[in-house]
Amino acid sequence: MKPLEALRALGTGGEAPPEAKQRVEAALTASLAAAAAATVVSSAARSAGLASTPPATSPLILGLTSAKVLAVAGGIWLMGGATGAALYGALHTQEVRVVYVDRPVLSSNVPAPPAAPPPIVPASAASTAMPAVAETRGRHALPAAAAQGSELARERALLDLARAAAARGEPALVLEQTERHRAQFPRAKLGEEREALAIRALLSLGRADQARARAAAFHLAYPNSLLTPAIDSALSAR
Amino acid sequence: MGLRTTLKREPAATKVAPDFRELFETQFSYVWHALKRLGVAERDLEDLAQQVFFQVHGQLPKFDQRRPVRPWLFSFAYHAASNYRALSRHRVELSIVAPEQACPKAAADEQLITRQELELAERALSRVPLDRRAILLLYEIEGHSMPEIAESLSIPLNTAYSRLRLAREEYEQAVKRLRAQRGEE
Repeated sequence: MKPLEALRALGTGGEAPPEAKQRVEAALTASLAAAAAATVVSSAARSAGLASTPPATSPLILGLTSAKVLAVAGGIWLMGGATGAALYGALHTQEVRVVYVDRPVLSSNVPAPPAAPPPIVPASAASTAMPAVAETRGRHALPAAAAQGSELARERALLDLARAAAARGEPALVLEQTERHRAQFPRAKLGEEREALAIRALLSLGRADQARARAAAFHLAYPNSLLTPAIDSALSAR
Repeated sequence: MGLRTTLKREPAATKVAPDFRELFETQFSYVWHALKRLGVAERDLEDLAQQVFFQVHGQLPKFDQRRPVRPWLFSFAYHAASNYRALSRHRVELSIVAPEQACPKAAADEQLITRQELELAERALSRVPLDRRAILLLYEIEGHSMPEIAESLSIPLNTAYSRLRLAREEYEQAVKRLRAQRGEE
């Protein structure tokens, strides 16, 4: 048999393992639900102008084209801000979100009670408050964009410190740095990475209940994050 | 007035849309095997399959129903697999060549030979670089047209053809090398 004939005879493969299919279906349904919920949370948070809410919470992948997804992968950069909100998109320049993907850090073993999910702001709040906020956004958009580059560098520098502390096994220091980051950059581009670092630091410190609460918020804010597997495996290792 | 012959499912945001559900039901295995052949490790297949269908869900309204669905789905799998391999930890693991399987017994059994040939084909395929492998999968195995493939992968038709030529060469070279390793020829 000639090599190419053997290749053609391969076919597209048989049935995938049914249990895997079931698991994927369950996870998919959950992540689609989380994405829908996160849209509500993020738009409400934006319109309310809350500085302390997790930043840039639009579920990325929903609005991305596959070509963009490819571009993203090259440097593990995620371009975001494309939630189905056309209104928001028209009034606000798209934001670049940067995500570092690192290995899960596993440590300490404290059992944790299930945490209550973070409060979800009703969708009606978003729709009523949106127009007023949108106007002010439009006026101040340009200066903010100009400062973005250096701010991103400062964010990255701060999180580099946190990551280095994590590598040295100093979770208390990690948490200190991530809290500094949260305070300094309420609308952080690297919020996703900061949260992942903080969650794992909390776990290392045995503060599993806090870690779980924060992970729940993380899942809502970043339903399709590349960091989710690392966080989940750290949580399940408790 | 009249009888409702069809019951529409509630299009709740938290539920998977009916069309999407059908797509998931009928094409899950296809996506699964495509990811596998695109070099995704067994333990990561579920994550990647989930990722692919999550993206498919987002893009489904833009899908042109007149087009064949598999090349379209394949493009998601291809991008997901490319992203996956861009992470160095995966690249390192994938570069480790799987150990040769236990030496197959010499047998004139035609079926066994065929199975060996298929295994060989699968292994040779895994040696072809991803961008060319995608073309081999879509063209040689699935039999899609080159214009369709080029469109699905968002590449110029000429590029697709030259990748196919190269892919065939690389695949045949890989078969030769693998046969030589096994002491055939």
